[in-house]
Amino acid sequence: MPLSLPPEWASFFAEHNFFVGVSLDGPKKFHDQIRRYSSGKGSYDAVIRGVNLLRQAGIFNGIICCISAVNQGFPKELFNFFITKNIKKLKFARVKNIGHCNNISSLIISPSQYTDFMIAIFDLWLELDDPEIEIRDIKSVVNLILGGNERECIYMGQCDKFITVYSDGSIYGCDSLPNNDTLYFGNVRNKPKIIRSDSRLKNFQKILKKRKETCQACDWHFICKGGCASNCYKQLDSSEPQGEICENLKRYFEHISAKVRLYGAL
Amino acid sequence: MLNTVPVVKAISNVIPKVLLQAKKEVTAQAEKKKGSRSKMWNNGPWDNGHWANRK
Repeated sequence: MPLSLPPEWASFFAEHNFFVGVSLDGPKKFHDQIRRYSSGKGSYDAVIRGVNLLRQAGIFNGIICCISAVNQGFPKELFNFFITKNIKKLKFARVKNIGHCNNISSLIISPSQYTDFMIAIFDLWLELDDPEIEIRDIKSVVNLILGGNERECIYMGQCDKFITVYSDGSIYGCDSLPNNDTLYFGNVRNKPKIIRSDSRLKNFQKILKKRKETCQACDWHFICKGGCASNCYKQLDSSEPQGEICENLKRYFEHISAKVRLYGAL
Repeated sequence: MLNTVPVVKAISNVIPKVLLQAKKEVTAQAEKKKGSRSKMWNNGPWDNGHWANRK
C-alpha cells in the first residue's frame, strides 16, 4: 500500500473487492527506524491511519511485518504490540538481500536468527491460545503437521505459478526473486500461450523439478516441498539446497511438531 | 458406575484451543477433499479464497 492511503483509494479498493495487506514492522520505535520517507521522517503514523481507513472500509487483510536486525530480538514486544492493536492476522518475513534494494546490509538477519524469532512467536501464540490470531506461516505448518493441506506459498513447491507484473506490463517471476533477464517471462500484452511457452519459464520449471527430486528424501519434504525458490538454494539455477536454510527450517518444524505432540493434538 | 464425562472434559482442556481449531480445519479439509473437487481447484492456486492468493 502507499505510505499515505487517501480515503478515496480505500473506497476504490472496497468498491472493486480488493483486500489490502499492510507492511508494519512493529511499534513506532522499530518501524520508523526502517520505513522512512526520503525526508527521513518515519511512516508509522501514516501507516496506522491507513490501517484505520482500511478497517473502516472492511478491506483490511492483516499485516506483513519484516523481521530485521532492528526488531528480531523483540518477539514478545512485537507480538504484544499487534495483539494490543487488535491486529490478529499476521505474516512475518525475514529481511534478506535479493537485489531489489540497495544499502540494507545492516538490516539483514540470518536464517538462524529468524528461526529463533519464529519459534518464540509460535510459543507466544500457543501460550496466549486465542483462535482468532492467525499467523500465516505457523497456521500453515501446524495444519500440514496435522495432516492438512493448507499451504503458504513457500510450502507449495510451485514457485513457477507466482509472477510479478510490473507497471510497464512486464512479467517476471515471484517478487521474492530478483527481476533479472533469466526470469523475464514476457509482457501482459503477449498472448497467454506465448508466455506459458517462454523458454526462460520452461527453464525455471526444469530447475524447480530438479530441486524437488533432490529434496524428496527429506523427512520434512511433506511440509516444505523444496521451499521457496528464492531462499532455499545456493543459486537461482542450482538444485543444491542451502544447508543453513534447511537446518533451520528443520529446527522450526521439529519444534512445532514436538509441541503439537506434547499437547496430544497429533 | 464411572462417570466418564469429567475425564473427557479434562483431556479437551489440555489441548490448546488454537490446536483444536487447527484439527477441526484439517478434518473439514479432508471432508471437502472427499467430496467432489471443483474444477477451479484443479486449475491451481488461483481459486477464490485459496490460501496462496493472499501473498
